[in-house]
Amino acid sequence: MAVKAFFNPTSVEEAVDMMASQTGEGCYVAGGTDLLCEKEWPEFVVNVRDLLNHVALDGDEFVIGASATVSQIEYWQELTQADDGLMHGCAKAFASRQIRNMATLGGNLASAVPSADFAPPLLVLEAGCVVQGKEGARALPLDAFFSGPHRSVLEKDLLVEVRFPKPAAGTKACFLKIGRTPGDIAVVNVAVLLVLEGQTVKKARIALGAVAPTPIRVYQAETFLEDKPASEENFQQAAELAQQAASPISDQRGSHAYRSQMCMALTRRALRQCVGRDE
Amino acid sequence: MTTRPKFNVVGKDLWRVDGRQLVTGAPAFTDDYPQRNMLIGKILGSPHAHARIKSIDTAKAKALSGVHAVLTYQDVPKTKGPIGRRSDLFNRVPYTRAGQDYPEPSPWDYFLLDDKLRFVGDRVAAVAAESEQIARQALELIEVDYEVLGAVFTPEAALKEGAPVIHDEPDVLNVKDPQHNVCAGVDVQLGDVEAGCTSADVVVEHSYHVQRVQHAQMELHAVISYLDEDDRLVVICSTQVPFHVRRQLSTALGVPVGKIRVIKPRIGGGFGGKQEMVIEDICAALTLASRRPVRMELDRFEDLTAARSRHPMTLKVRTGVKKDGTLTALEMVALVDAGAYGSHSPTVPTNTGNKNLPRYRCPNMHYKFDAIYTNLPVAGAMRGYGTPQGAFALECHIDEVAEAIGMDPVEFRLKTTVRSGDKDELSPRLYEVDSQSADEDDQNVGWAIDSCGLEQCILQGAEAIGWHEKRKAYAEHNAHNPIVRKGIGMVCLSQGSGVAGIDTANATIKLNEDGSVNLLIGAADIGTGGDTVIGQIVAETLGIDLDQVVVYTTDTDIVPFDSGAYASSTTYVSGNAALKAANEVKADILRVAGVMIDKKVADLTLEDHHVVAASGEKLSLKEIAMQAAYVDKEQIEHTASFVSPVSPPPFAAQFADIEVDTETGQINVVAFVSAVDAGTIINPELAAGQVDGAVSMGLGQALIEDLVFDENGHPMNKGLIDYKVFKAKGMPKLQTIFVETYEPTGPYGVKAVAEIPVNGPAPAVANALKHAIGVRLFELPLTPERVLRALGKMSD
Amino acid sequence: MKVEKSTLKLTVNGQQKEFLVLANDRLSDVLRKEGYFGVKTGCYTGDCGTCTVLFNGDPIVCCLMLALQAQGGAVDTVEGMAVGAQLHPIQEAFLDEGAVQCGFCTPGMLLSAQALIHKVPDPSKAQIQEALSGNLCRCTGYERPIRAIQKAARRMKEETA
Repeated sequence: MAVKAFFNPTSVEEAVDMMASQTGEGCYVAGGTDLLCEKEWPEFVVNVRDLLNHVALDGDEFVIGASATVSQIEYWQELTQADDGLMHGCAKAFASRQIRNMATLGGNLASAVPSADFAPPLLVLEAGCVVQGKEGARALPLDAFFSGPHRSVLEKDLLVEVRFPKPAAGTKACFLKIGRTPGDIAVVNVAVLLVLEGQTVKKARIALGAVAPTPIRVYQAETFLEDKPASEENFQQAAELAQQAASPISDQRGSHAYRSQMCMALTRRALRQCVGRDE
Repeated sequence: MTTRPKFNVVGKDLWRVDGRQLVTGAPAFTDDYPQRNMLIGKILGSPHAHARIKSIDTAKAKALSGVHAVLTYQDVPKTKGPIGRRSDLFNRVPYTRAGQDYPEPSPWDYFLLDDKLRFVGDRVAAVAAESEQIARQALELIEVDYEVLGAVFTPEAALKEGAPVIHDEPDVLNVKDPQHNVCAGVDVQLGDVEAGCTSADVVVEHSYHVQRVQHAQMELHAVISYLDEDDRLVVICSTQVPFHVRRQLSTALGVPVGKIRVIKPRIGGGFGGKQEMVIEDICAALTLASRRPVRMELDRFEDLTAARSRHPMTLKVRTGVKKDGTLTALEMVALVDAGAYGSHSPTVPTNTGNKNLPRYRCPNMHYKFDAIYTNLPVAGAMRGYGTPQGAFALECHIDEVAEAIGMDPVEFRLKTTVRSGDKDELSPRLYEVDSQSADEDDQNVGWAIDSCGLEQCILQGAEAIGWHEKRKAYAEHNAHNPIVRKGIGMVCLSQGSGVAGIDTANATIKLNEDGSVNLLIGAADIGTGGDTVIGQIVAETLGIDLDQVVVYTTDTDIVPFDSGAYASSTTYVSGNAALKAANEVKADILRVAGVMIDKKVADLTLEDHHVVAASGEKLSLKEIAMQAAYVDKEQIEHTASFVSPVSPPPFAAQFADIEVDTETGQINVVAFVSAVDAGTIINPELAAGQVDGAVSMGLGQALIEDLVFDENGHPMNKGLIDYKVFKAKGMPKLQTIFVETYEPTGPYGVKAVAEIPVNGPAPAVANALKHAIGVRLFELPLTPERVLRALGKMSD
Repeated sequence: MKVEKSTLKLTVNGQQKEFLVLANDRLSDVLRKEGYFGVKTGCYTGDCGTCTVLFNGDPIVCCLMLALQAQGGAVDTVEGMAVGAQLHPIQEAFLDEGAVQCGFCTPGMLLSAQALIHKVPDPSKAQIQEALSGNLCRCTGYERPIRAIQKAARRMKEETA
């Protein structure tokens, strides 16, 4: 299939209208780094590359437009200072400079691949997304966004932006990814966020990607860690709970045995890095 | 050993002659020469690993508007007698596409199009249409009914009794034992290995496995073919072997050689993948059928999975050694996966033996290989040409042998490797069996090893990497059971310089009236810098600057014959031809000058743009050239040929310094040292660049490259996203040391450099890994999961 | 749906250009068709980097951009680096350091380098490795291109000082 028509809306409403009013198979396109790799292209595209690339701290909430590029996130110092470098670390591990200059946060989430790098960080940041369709805009938490491998609740709706509360001062966070080479698609990725009081974990958020049909929060490990000392044994235990929560498959990038092992190893390593212990 | 004279141009880091066009992005590659009214050609690849075409209907495809040719095996019938002037039919003749001198040692087991498919992606049909889109649509409209046959995906499976016969066609030629899927094989012994094992103090025996990797050169296979004003077939193609392509096109298409012109423009990497006629024949066939220019370029998936790859091999190595380090027996037996067609399978595995075993002193040697057809993509030439597989097995094994008698790996190699003056007695035996043109006298005499800087390579490389200190320090570090362990490993290597008695080069040099020369060579610079280096040889000889040598390569209508870019032959063989021609031009220059100033030629020298007499009188080259052109009315021009009776081996030692993360299994190569004896180095930056690139390719084979297939022979690597090669980030610190010996048979003392450095990284890293974690991995690539399993750290 | 050509207006190497393109066209193919042969294609999946150009100053792999998405933008290709016969310092450095072998990845690397030095006039080896990681090379092992970029950055810094 070849793209026959290219639409260039100047507002979100116009974009949604164009998608709704055309006959045939259509897609939104922003960075193009997923879409143009597909074997089959849609009959028409609605270009949102230059819409929705806002990034801002709106009061106590960070807002990232769906068309913000990975590079924009990488260079956004205000965010990097507030989230202990979590999103910055994720952006830096993403593909290559060229891809980062094109690929968007929205595209990464909308692909709904289990290995979507930005999913674990946004899950531990307890993000929500704003989606717009024919019926108007709606908000939903990110952990309700993914429904299966390559499936999200979006359908033909437009992901507008992602929002999350500014992390409390002193929040520690870490994103780790393992791939075959630097910048590769994740074999396993993990995001961890901790709020400590002295040596006690007051809040723990742990999310894994590429090891289940969707990116997942590991609630059991979070609950286990809260109100416990940030010790090696507890981190080990939490990491094992993360491993148990995962259900990885074997594919071109790695076996399920290796992925399972890495769930544990990376979660533990991320927790240790949060509290500044050298690995 | 001859001492090296002082050079003016040789040995200098000069800008490459094609440098300007490359950094400005000038149109210089095959796809940068689009023709008017050009069609796009595409191949329909087989969806099955082994199948016969029961019926094929191209009517709908042909009827699609914008389609100008559709070819299937039905257009390649068996006929008696010549085709004559019909261009829409091709005679079914067997041929090989492997780029080697005629008569090629390869099986002639290809047909332009066949009714049998032997791997997923094999040629079913081809179309030429007005756009890429229409061509794709046409492919989908071809209706094929396949009889799916049983398929085999390992040499072991292919050898089993009752296995499907992959080449059962009656008209295939030069296959060792087609009924049993044996493509080629050799079995050669020197002395008595069994006796050697009996007399040994320790016998060590292991089996090693090397995976299928691919060239992944940046420029895809590309061809533009057309009929010129004189109805001659012109083929612009990204190839390493233009003259072989010309000859093979003639065979495949039934067009006389004199009616074919092959042009090789700049090439974006070949590494052996383009030492083969991969798509030139089918593209040219589409041109003949449609009478239009046709452009064909493989997409990256096709290039990775349906072009050529390295030969996967399982190698059993057995050695007998005495406690003092003397080798008493050295045996290597290789089981080789040839893929679906014969290609380079008789010769690549020969190198596996003869470019590895003979660098060790041992009176009893045995080398055997069997190359077996499988229903997987064709294994062909790839940088190193069989040597990397043997180097992995042998150099890992040598470390095991050293360990068995308690010797340090460096110490053991210093003791057991060859020296200048030694003889290689194994190679002539292998060539006698393999080659059709080996001199009978060579068989029993052995090939002399003249220039050999291996000892210095080992010593200097060891010092550069800090071998002795780190061997000890890392062992101490690891004893404390840290998460990140460290290791250091090394290997030594040898290769060849061209193929003795076979690789042929010619060069034509003509003098222009300003003292510049045109150098016409058939040698194929595929990014190696061959044009520049050969230009430097000529400039050195004629006392001129490199930019006064106008290098023109490979247009088969204009330049003289050259075998092409392979076997590390460009500088040594093609350079020697250019040196010969330059010396003949020099003789003429001196002759003309001698007449001009009434001096004997013996009293004249040519230096720094002047002929200088012993008496001090000088004539500028420009004056002489003007005299020759406009007074004597003679064009000074010479063509010289060169074939080498020998293939003097370059030598090298390589060292890897690594870290191993014992929680993730990841190996990080921190530093890598290559110490190389390639004889005289003509252009140090270009030569060092070759070493760097070869190391990155070898590290890829060591750690991350792997072409894999599912149980039905379908490729699993979707593209470069899944065929991982080294990027800038992740490369270790590289250091290259040149140990410059002087090879008397090479032009200005040259040997070869392009292939040898790709052989060492995999065994060097594997040896370093053994040092780091105390366990040896016998299989490539050295993946994190394999490392964790070796450490017993996988919790499943 | 009728397939029509649209006008793509953009600046290429500082010059105003208008191209007729299809909705389906990739920017890489349009640029090559319009004679910018320094834009290579090696994979069509954004992995090899040979199609690297600067878009509004930032390196992108233009095989993954639909041509019409570049509407009104500014593209820089390797053809814009030299000024007449005078090569750009990065081009000269690549030749000085033997950083060019087959040359197929070279235009992409040169542009990635140019963008990096513009942002970071004094790049470290690690920053250069990072900047080049989207430009695959099978010939050089990246060693000499990195040295060339370090050399060029030093020279360019001196020249602007």
